[in-house]
Amino acid sequence: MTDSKQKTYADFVLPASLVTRLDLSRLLIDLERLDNELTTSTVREKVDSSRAAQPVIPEQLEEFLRLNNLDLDDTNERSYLIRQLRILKDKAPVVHMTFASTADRESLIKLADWLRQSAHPQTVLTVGLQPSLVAGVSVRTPNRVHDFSLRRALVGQHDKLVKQLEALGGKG
Amino acid sequence: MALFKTKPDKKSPEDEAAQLAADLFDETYKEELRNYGREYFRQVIDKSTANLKNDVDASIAGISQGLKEYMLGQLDATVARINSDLTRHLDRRLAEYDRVTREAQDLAVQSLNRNAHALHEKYQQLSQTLQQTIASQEAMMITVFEENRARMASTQSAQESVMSSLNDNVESSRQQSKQLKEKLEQSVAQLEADMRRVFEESKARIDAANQAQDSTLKTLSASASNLESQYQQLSDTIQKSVDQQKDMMVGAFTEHMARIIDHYLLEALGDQYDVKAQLPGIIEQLQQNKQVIADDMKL
Repeated sequence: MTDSKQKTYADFVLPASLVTRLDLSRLLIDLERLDNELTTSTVREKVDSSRAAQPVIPEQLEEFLRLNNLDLDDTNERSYLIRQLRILKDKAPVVHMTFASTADRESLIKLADWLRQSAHPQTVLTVGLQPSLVAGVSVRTPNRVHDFSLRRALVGQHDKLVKQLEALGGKG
Repeated sequence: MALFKTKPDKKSPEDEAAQLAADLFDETYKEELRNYGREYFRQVIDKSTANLKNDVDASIAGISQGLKEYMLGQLDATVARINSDLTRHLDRRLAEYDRVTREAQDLAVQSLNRNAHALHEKYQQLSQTLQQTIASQEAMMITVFEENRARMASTQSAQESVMSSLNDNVESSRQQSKQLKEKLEQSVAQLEADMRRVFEESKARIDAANQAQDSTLKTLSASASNLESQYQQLSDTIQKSVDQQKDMMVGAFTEHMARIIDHYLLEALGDQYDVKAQLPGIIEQLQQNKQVIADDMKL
């Protein structure tokens, strides 16, 4: 590991493929598992003097390590990284987005990228499904709810529709 | 050497079919199919919208016409019923007033008749009394005259001596006659005064009866005008109530129809879009609220 001592959770750059809070949790689990495997391998090497098989690093974790210029050779640095990732998991700003239909991965990646560029670089998403929205999305930030759904648009046009119906009905 | 020449590679029919299918269903053809699909769905949505609008127009026109006819019928029936009730009430009150007026007039006429009859009887009694008085005076004068003439005939010889007494008797008779005349004139004057007083009293009673009749007629007129104003107020109130009820029903109908249309649109459009197709629009709306979202996440 090259910069892990200097970097804190606030300095981490999240890969584009890490979109949701679940992805962040999975990244942490992978890192913990990898730490266990590497520790075990080190112990076995000392006991058996034989080189253990190199553990497999998941693609998302590998991309995270590459973006942040990190490596996992030192066990103390791995522990420090795990602690920082745990803090990041708790403190990363979460935006909940509810869609009318199931959102594909590509769209979620684009939305997360926009949020990281526009609002906060460590934003992660939680995704919900609400068919009654019809279309559009409902976005819930820590303190606000922004309803960009078609249902909301129709409700906003309700008064106009009533006036048109009154005009059609001859009430004027 | 020609016998051991290597044969050219020949593809199997399955590979050729796969290659043909891959050539046919390339990205251009898929994009055309997608465009065709989008156009088809757009046409379906337009047709559904037009059909919905026509249905809503027809329903609104039919319901509005029916509502107008129903409200007009109800209003006519209500106004007719109120007119009938008011007319019957007015007729009953006017008949009662006519009866009371007729009874008052009858009583006044009977009182006048009684007064006139009493006046006539008093006049007859006074006339008889006056005739009797005149007759008694005449009889008395005739008796005195006869006595004097008897005295003159019996005492013709002593005419000279009793001439003065005779003259005195004549003078006394003349004075008595004068006194009688004065008494008679006094009686006539007294009678005239009594008759005038009775006449004045009767006239005052007649005036009082006329005044009572006038006041009764004024009261009747005021009651009739009050009834008319009450009828007008009642009619206005009913008209306002009917208008308010009509507005309330039309408003409720319009509100319900708007909800039905909302629901229909939501049901019709619910499955038409996927997130990928909406992504540009979503990002545009996020862009419009970028500052608010950023501020909220920095808190």
